[in-house]
Amino acid sequence: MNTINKLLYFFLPMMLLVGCADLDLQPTNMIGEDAVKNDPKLVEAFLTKIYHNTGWETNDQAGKRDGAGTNNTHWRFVDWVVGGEGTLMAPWQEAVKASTAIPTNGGARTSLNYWPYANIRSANEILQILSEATFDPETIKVQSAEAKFMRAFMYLELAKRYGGVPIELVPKQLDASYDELMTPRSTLQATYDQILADCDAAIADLPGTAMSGKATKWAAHALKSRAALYAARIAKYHPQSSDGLTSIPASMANGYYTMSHASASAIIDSGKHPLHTGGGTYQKTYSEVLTKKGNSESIFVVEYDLGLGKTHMHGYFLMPDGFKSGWGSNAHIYEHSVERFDYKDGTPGNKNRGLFNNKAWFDIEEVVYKRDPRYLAKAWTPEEVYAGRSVWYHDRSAGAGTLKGRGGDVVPNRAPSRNRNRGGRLAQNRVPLDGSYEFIPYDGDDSDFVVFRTGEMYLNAAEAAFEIGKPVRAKQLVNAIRNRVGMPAKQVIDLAKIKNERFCELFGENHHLWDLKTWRDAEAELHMRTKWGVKWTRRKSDGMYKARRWKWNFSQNTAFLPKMYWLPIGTAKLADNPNLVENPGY
Amino acid sequence: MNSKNIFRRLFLLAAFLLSTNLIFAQNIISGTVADGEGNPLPGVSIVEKGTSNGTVSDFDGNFQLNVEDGATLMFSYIGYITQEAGASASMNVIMQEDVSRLEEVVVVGYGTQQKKSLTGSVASISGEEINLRPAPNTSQLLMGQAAGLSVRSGSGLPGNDFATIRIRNFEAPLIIVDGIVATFGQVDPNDIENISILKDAAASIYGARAGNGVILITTKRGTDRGRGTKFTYNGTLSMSALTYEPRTIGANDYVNLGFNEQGQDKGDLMPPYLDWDNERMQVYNVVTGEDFVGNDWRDIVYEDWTLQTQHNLSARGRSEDIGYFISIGFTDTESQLRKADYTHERYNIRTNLDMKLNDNLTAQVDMSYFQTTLDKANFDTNAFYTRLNSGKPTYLAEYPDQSYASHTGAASPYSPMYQVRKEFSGSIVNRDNNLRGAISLTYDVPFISGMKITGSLNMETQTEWNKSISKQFPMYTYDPSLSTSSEIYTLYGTYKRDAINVNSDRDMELLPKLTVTYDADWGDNVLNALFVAESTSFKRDYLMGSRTDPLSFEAPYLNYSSRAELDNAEIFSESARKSFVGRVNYSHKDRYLFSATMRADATARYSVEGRWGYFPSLSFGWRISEEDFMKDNSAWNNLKFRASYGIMGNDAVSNFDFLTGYNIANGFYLFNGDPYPIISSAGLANALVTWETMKIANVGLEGTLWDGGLGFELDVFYRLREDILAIPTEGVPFNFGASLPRTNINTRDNRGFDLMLKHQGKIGAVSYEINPMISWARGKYVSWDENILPTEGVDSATAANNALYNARYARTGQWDDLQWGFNTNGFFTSQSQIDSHPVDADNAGNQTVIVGDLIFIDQNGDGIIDWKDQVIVGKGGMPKWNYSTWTKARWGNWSVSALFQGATGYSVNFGGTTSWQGLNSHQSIPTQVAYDNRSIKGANGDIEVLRRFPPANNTGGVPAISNRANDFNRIDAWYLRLKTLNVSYNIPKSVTDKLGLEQLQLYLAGNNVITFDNLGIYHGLYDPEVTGGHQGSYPTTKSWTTGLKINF
Repeated sequence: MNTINKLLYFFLPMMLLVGCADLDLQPTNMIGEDAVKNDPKLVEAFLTKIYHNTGWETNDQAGKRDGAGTNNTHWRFVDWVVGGEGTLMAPWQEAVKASTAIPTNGGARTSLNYWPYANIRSANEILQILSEATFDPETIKVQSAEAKFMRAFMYLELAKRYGGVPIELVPKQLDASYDELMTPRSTLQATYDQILADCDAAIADLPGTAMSGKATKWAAHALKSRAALYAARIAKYHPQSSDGLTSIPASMANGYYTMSHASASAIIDSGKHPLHTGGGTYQKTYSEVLTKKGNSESIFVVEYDLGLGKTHMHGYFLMPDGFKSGWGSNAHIYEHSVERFDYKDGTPGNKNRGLFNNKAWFDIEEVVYKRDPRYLAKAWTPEEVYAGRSVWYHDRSAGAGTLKGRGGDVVPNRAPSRNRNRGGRLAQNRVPLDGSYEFIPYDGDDSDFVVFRTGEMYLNAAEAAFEIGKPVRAKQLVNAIRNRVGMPAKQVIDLAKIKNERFCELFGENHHLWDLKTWRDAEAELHMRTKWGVKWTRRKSDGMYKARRWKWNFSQNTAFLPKMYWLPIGTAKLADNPNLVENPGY
Repeated sequence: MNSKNIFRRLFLLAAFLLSTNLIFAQNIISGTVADGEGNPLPGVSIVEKGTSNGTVSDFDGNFQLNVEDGATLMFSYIGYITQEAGASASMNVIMQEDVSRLEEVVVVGYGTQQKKSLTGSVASISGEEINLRPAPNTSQLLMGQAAGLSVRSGSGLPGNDFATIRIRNFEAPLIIVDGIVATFGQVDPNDIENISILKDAAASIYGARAGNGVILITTKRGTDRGRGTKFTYNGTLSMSALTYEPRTIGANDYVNLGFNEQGQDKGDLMPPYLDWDNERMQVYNVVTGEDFVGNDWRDIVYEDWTLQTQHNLSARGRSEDIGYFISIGFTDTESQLRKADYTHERYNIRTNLDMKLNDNLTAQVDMSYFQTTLDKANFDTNAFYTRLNSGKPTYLAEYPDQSYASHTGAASPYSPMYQVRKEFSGSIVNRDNNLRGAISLTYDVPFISGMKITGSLNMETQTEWNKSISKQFPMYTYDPSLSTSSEIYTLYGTYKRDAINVNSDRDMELLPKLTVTYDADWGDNVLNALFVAESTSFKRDYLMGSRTDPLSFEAPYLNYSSRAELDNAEIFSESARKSFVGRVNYSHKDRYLFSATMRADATARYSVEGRWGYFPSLSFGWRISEEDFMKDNSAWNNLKFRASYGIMGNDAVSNFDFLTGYNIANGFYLFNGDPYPIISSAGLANALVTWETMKIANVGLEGTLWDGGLGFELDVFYRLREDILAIPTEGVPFNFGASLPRTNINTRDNRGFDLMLKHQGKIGAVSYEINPMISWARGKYVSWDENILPTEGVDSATAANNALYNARYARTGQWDDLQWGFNTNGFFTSQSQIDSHPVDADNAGNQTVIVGDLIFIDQNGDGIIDWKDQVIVGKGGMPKWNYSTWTKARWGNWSVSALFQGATGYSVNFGGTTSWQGLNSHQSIPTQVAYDNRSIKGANGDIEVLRRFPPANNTGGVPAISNRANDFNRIDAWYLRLKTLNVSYNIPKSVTDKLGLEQLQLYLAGNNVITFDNLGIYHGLYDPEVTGGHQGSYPTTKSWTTGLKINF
């Protein structure tokens, strides 16, 4: 039987091998459901996912790296451009497209949309897990409050875009009835009330201090102050809609203003987050508000860290031509935005408009460098010295001479093309003034993103105080903000002044578009507005400049129709949930 | 007594009974066998009729055999008609070619079959036919080889030049090399014996992975055509160039186009030192040493013609008990970039051994090893092309001092030239190793006649190792008008960072298999049965490490780099599958053929409930020409009718979708500057998720007439693809916050036909063959789960709208390739025309419309342009029609073959906008096209001469409304190209004999020789085979090759 045996030795193992392939494999990156329920560390990791996915900079995702090696969508400065503060280098950039497109019933451009229901469901799931959890009650309380804080933030982002939205507070199950699943839109008032209720719960249970990047009692106050302010403005300035989906009864305005004022004042009065000071110069102090990690004014931030590979690209896009690593000079400020910044002596920001006639020679020290330090901190200016070199803007040089620039460097005949060809004013938001960004790598910016800061709270409180008949309080608050940057105090206050102060203080921080919408000022400010840039000429002999204004061609045709105060829900979502109603005009 | 001796005795007894003839008188006869042209035929089987007594002819066609008096000899050889002849002392037999190749052996799933007994639609391609031109990989060679096979090249970049192959326009087919799933990169074309393409239910035997058809590649083995060794050397030297590339216009035209016609700022067009006046032009001329013609960046980065070399040496033969095929190959493919910055090399070896261990036991031992190395500058193809396309002709690509990297003058000015130079950008090295070993043992069961058992074990390991070294390099602006040399070059910015990333991706696969075959015949009835049990287990381990800022690029290794930013990762995954396969073939009188197969497949990707799938098939063949009523019809050499039906699957659609739980994310979130881990809910799960099911029916008719005067093969098929996974639209709305799990709900289908014709003939001394093929295939959505807008419970106007919307865009019942868009009617040429335009084109009273925008036709006349005005403007990128013709002619020692190949029934989309990104365009429209079709502004600002492209009347403007899909940008395309032309010459035998060679062939082959297409203004700029992404990929290539083939 030798041969048979030999053969069996070969064929039998083969049969065994065929039979033994194990089909009951498990994927290597999963954790079972039950493990999560009873482990606060895993709940914490799930909660961290909500932080990660909330999108605190919703329309401003500048090519972020999140440590996983993945780059997020390349949207940048969308709110900034759509809100008419400035524009970008090229018309194909998403923000410019978003600003020129008129939304249809197909929905708004993706970069404007925000539909975080998956993340809201996660928050609801966590609240459910925590309601049954048996571990440390204090941990349960704080984790629940964090989930509610983030849920409120997401609903506010929804409400400011679409008006009233479907409100989900529990993770529904698949066996729920049709009517239960097809949640209709709540009224805008109910939506804001839900946001404010979550804020109140978060204020009650969140600690006063926490790790940077985590929600605190003060972050919840800040959210409440902003939400209540928006609700109050809508109640006061928007026409009533019959279904209440895009309006709030006017009678509610006072109450919301009062709430906004109270929460903002709570932060201001607590002294936990005083306005940042001590940067040496007004300009530097103000710049540090956004660029110095852990400054006292930061109430809630999203942290970044180059070493850990979590970065964004703001600095890379904002560094001017001549410094950059290859992009840069991407954001250009319109003249009408520049003119809203007064001069240091309190004279109006548009007083020199007549000089821009391409004939008169003037001194930039007077015309440019005497403006509000907040402008100087947030804009690149002609011959601004950065890291020992000058930022050049001049389209051409006149005459002869070898006079060096403000940085003591040799002056080129013409500035680098992207500085001279576009607006002649460049945004510098979030670029620190210390010269550290001279050659910033492609996605190497790790400044934190400030979601809530005390400056906004002063202005929220000021506006609310003014609206509920406390102009003295309003004036004090505005002047406190002005005092921090050395601007002269206002002697009288009115709503226009408060609005302008808000524009200057919060320039480039994703507020203006939503301020215009909630104030119902957007048609007046944005619709088919002529937008101006500047072309500079430098005289070689004495460094004097002349300049002319010119029209920004590709941004001329931006329409803002009344329907655009609210973004469309869109046919896809309406088909998905037949109980929904589209916003008017779509 | 051991069993061996028992079997030996039984065998001897049987042999004795079968060879009773041996006792009669014996004659020794000898002779030669040759083909119709007098060439000796080695390996012809010569058998004394009615006995098992036989031999084969040797290399020179000679044979010798002892036969009985008055015996009849049968001469048979694949590809030739079997002959009978009475034995005589000295025989000279001429074998006639079999025009219908009925005896040819075709590889099918888990075995082989004679062509005459095939019941499925199987195309067979010989290795010799595909090797008429050299190509770096086999995928490129399949073009035009089989009806119903669509092959399209996308890029000619070495290492990234695999063609897209589709059987009958299905998705990617399963590719199997010698029984194991593989890729085209894992086989040297020279090693291929033949390729079979299973187009219908013939693929069913591969079960859950076969739904899109199967390509079987079989490598060469030791020959059984006589003893001895045959060496073959095949060497080629090719010169290749790009087929098409968009050109940049000269500096003068460029400035005219931009400044005069487009109203663009001069500053955007010119480097700072150069202005548009005579004085500055002189500066330019002095600097460049030439007139103001500008430079074409493509001239700087591309070499005109580059070299590819291929060498393959193989030995093939048989000794007493061992048959062997040994091959070694080397391929060096250059790109059109500098050789120092881009090399692609492949080394491969293969050994296929067949051993007879004893009378009943044979073994196969196969081994193959591939090593492919891509070594290139550290550039990303997309970034490279963006910069190349936007490089301004007015800017210098190379400065007088070349150590200063130039910039293009465009918005993102990283010079493409420096991106593709290793000394500036760093390097990327990819090394792929593939090692395969297989051993199988076949036992011819002696006590059950016709039964064989084979046990085999395949092992494979594949390692992809990748290292990228990224260098930060500075770019400079250049201004020769400045005085001091330090100012002439000004640092502009830097590109990239200093960093090193190394990763390795290692796969291991183990595949044991047990096969039992049984062949029997009783008179007119022939039965072949097969049973296979096999399993696969697969493990993958990916490891990555990266750091930044190496201390020095002299030592570019991770451990000598900064620890400040370091990263690493490991990903492990595994999978397994198990299968049982059965097949029964039965034929009656060689006329009626039946085949039935069944496969059971299980994979770990699915839950226990959905894990096992069963895939049966049935097919039938009727050889009409064997029937009595046709047998004597001299016109018909062969006529066969075939029909088949089979069920297959596609299981690569889901991976562990049936599990619930939490996924651990790769990313993290920061608190207090520290990374915190993230887990997220895996979402709702579908425990019953399973594979797609494909049901395919095929009817075929094939025949040969007039001794090869006409051959044809026609197949018509229908495939239903069911259980396509999708998230159900019904059920939960978006506000639920989680989507339903994917469910097997959707259904699509495909239909079409393949027709192959063949004509063989001879005119004088020239024998020739013409082999045209044509095929058509197209798909529909049969039932598609989608949102249907309500037509009830809404007001009548909405209902009518919704009904129209549903009828138009609902997929169910529609062709799957429809492209909707607007018909256009020229451009707006003046503001007054816009102001008086009766149709609202932008839903905002034409406020946002600008001069130069396309005029869309208001199809329904409602005064507003919206979706209702859309019409079908194209058919998608996949050609519905594929056609080709092989023509081969032979005259003495000369032979010529030509392959014309083409396609139609598809559309090519040239960009989303008719305008272009200023002049530093990286949109689809090359400046040459823009210039040739420019419009010219009249004195009053209106456009006087409007040809095709509107002016961007605003700086870098994109007319938003013209962005919509339209018939101006989408071209319904066709093309026809001379894909291959091969002229070869066999050195006369008198010469080769002197050299001691058997055969010496010289050949000249062309690839992509000439092309006709209807791309209109884009003709000559883009390859019609490429249907999208024109601006961001490396073009296809054409080549001329000289080759040398030696047999000795």
